Amino acid sequence: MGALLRIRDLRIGFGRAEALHGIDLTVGEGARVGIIGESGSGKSVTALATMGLLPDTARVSGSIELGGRQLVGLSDTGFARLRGDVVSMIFQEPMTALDPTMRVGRQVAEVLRLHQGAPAGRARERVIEMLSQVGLPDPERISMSFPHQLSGGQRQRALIAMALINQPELVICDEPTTALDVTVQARVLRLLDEQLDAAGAACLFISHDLAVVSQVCDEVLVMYRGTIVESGPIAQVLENPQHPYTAGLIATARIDQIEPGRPLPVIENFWDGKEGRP
Amino acid sequence: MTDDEPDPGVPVFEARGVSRTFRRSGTRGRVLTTALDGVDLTVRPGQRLGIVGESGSGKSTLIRVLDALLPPSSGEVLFRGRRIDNASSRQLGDLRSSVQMVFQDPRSSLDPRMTVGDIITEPLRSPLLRSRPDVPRNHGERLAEVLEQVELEADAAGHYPHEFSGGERQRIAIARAIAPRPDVLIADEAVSALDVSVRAHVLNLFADLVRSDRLTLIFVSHDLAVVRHVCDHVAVMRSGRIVESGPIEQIYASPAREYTRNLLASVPKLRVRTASSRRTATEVPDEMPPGPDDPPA
Repeated sequence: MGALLRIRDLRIGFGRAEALHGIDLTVGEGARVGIIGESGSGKSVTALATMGLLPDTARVSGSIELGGRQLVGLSDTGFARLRGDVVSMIFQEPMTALDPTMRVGRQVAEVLRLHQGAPAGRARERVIEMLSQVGLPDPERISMSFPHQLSGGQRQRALIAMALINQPELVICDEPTTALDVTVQARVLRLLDEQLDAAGAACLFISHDLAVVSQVCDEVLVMYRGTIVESGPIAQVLENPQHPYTAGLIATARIDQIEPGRPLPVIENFWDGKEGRP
Repeated sequence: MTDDEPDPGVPVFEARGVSRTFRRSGTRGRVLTTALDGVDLTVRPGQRLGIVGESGSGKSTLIRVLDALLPPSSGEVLFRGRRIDNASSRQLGDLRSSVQMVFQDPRSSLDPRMTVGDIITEPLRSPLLRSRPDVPRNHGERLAEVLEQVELEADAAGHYPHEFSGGERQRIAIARAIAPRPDVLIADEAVSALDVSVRAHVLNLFADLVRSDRLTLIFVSHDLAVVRHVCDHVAVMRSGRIVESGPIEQIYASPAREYTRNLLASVPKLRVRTASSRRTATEVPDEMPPGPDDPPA
């Protein structure tokens, strides 16, 4: 498998502060890579840089190569051609990611028309097919609905339909199930798993929840304050974490193994935040 | 002990046949939604009750009715043996001073223009609480006490909410809730918006506070695994009804209903995907099977 996304020494700064201190990561074709870290660790900034969605004030250096094409310094029009086609993104909050004034079907069709130039009739057919493929009941009705008329889980399914309709090579998921409750989360994760497989798309999956990452990904990168502290195949990282921060994350994710009434382990039991800090 | 000490035999909260409907305008005119449908519930002093269920199951409506923020459409709600479902706000003094709430998102529940010190001591300045004998008089002293209890530095008091992380903000919200020495703490999805790594901190804090301050706790969550760590009892809600309730360990170990089993199975667990498991990421059915007591859709 060749490398689809290759990031080298990526640094991102805002004002005087640097949010990302030179990270390297590689996503192979069809691979599933998770990025785990707490709020402010730089995981979302990495995703936004890859999508060309950083604000103009951001300073970016290093290299982001997607399918051999350099994305650092790429123009807005250059990114617009890639977004929704070669690379797409699924955001945390589907209510803000969808346009509240536009019917769901039209929003999904827009992605198709922009990149495939499909005529309206054909686009509509394909949209209904896609909405049905992501398990939305009564796709005809859903396509005529506005986002606020759908439940959180249905909105996230619509976003997945939108992200996958052009069969992108890479799908970036930024906390795609964090706003959902556990049962809906389980269903959306399973759907995502199936759809990524069906499309053969690679995935960069960002989450603060190691358990969720372990459901979807084969490899994991652990980020802390703008650096990658550990990376590897998920089995290896879970079984034999090298960094104490990773060990702490694993322990906090395993609350089902703690006897009720006993204090839950916290990161500080494993790591003081200094030792092994890169 | 004072004469005001509540009789330990009297339930803190009692709901009898409580229903609540909402009228809202939909695409086909006005629609009536039933958020609560004949709920019976008893919360005893010192109990740590978890309320679990999917979004829209009625959890939040139930605690709003218990806290008299929302009147029920029918049924009775009693606080320490007294009706509160038809009480005027003046008659709710006892409830308002004894029950405090912690909400899901500390970004929206804390006033961004107030310092942390002012936020935490605000309930102490409330006229409803000032009249209560055991409400701390010395606000500065109480502020220092609760900051220490929630493990925040004393100088946090002079800062503003946006200067803190999500977990710290939730600890500020908890400090504010316990400042007037309530008897009952109601937490509505209080750890759902937090990073998993921060969640353990806040859950440990809830457990410690309930023990040290001998609080009655009502903890609402969609996550049964979380509830198990802070509660001794649980009520499982679906479509506005309590479909299963009892001691938490019993329900966690052997849930009687398929709905509860699905809630449990949905909690994501650490697992290593193998080639053969790729197709069966989770065992949760796509849609919940309808329960025998399901109201017709």
